[in-house]
Amino acid sequence: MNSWCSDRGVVRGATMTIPQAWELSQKWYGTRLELDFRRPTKDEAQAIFESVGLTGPFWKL
Amino acid sequence: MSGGDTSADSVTNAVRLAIYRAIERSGSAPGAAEVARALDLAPADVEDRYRALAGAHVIVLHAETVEIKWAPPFSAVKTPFVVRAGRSAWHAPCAWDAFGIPAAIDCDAQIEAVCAWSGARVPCGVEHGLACGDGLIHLLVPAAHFWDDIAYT
Repeated sequence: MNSWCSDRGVVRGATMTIPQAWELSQKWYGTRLELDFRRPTKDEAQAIFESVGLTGPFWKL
Repeated sequence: MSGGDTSADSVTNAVRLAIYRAIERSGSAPGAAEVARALDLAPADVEDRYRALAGAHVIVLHAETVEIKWAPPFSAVKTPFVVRAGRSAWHAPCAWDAFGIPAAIDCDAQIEAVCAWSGARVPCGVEHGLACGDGLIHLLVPAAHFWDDIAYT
């Protein structure tokens, strides 16, 4: 991953595992096709990230 | 919030739901005219709702148009991330959103993705409600800037 980033001149970002992506997706998109969907507020979004272990400066909203 | 605002929000919400139901059903995003006919609304009104949804970061439009590019987690354009469930298939804008499709539809799914570094296939998905597959999803753009340029993100 580091070589991929250096080849493209980009700074390495953050990673998430597949189980984290699934858990995050359930919380982020689970109500997207429902009538009462609304986007999470900034605080709610931060709490969702934290609840699946996505913490640190990269995930700070 | 006034009663008028609530009504306006209700119509926008109905438009949002019509968009998502159509793309769930067909894999294709409906045009504003199609949604207008389905909901018995004026096409120009639906176009305004599309712009409002884009402004609220619910959907993404092609530049300078009211044509839907993405209704996350769905993509209306082909991408390297293909999600299959039963006989249906959809494209997702990114790896994270590929998992968003089974989350939104509440189903198991097979996800076809390709490793950006090696080019190798990365089979993964959701089986019996649990994530399966190996690999890491790499995000370049910090969360606070996801929507600065969502196509790059």
